[in-house]
Amino acid sequence: MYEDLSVNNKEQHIINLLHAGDKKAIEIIYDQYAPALYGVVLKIVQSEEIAQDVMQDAFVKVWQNASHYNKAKGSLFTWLLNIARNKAIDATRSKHFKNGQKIQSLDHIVHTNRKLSEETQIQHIGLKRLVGNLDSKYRIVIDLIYFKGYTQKEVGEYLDIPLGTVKSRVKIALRELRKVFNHTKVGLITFLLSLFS
Amino acid sequence: MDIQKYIASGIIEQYVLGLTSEEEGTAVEQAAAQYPEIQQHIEELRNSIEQYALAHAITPPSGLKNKVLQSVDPSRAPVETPTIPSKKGIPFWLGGVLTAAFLTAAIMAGMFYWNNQSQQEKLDQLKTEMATLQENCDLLKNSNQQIIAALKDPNTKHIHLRGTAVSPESLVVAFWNENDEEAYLNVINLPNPPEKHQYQLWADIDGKMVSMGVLDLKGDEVLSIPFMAQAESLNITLEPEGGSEHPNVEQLHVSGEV
Repeated sequence: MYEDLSVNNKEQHIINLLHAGDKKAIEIIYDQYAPALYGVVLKIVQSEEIAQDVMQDAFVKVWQNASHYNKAKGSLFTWLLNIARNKAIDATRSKHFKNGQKIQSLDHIVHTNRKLSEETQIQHIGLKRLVGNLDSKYRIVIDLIYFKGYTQKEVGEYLDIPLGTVKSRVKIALRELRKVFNHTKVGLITFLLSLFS
Repeated sequence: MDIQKYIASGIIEQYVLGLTSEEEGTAVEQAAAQYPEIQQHIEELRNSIEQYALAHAITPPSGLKNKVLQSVDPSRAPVETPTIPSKKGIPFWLGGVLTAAFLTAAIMAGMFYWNNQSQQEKLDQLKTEMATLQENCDLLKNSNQQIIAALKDPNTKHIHLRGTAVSPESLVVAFWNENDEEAYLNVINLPNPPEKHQYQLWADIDGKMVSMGVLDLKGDEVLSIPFMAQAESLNITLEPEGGSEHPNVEQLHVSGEV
């Protein structure tokens, strides 16, 4: 598993730089994770202008909290995602955002992926299909929580379903994603089979 | 502790999405530290969420990197990021644009070609039609010129074929030119033949009726008829369609001496 090792090494290298207070870490993080973080931020704020401001805020926070990063509490990517996501959700809740934001469908934002390697691009096309295969009633729960920052109670009110149902859908949704992403081959076969059933 | 039951409870899913309280979170972390199976479940779920986020990845605008680096380190001098696309190859989005452009061009070329082909076919068709019309026109012109020439010729005799008792109102005029051995027939008035019947023209030669053919009456055009030098009179009878060998004298409609 050379690939995993190199990813881990790279991640460890970044963590070391962060802990040492080396600003080079930020540039490496940007090169490595910006498209993923930007995609999530853009999905949340739905405005390229606001998304760029959020990205700056998020990186400042990454730098400020560099010494707080704890590997035991999740990967560097999860940590970065959570910072960016929280900054984006905060932005959507600001007064300025509510006044100035135009309603805009995510579908209108052009998806470009230049910075990611070709391999991951191909993988993503597959991933998007697999994600698309996730039943929309589960997907909406995950999207409301993950991209909109809704609490489960708010999701229940929004979708008019009991809190218990929200919780069970969260569970099922994540398990479906786990099947898809941790057993991609199995997921793919299931997906293909589902086409013919 | 029943690990499977703990995993099945859904608390781990709540935890990885950050939906648990601080207390619950600490409990999950303790369980994970104790049981590798729980730890693995957490990691798999986190990985799923990472992958889910990655599935939404979008390249940020090129200027953003500088802004980010400067907001982290204000002392940093702005560096112009080259906007020229990577030299490694065509950026994939440009590839897409080029592919789309190429396909569009190819489809349009195909359409033009096909269109051109069908236009060419139409043009050829029209050319043929035009040639046919021209030919008909020439034929008509020639025959009209011939008729006019015959009519103008002082040697042309006008023979009046007058109606018999059967058809007193009928009148046909023949133009008879012995010099040029040409003959024409101008039907001025003949009743429309009944169904399945036709008029037939006869020349009286030495007391015998010789058929000169059936008349194909179409409007009021002048008909070209054979010239028969020995004809003493011209006679038109009504016969069954296609004509007869011998005239039905009871149905003699017009007659005139040459």
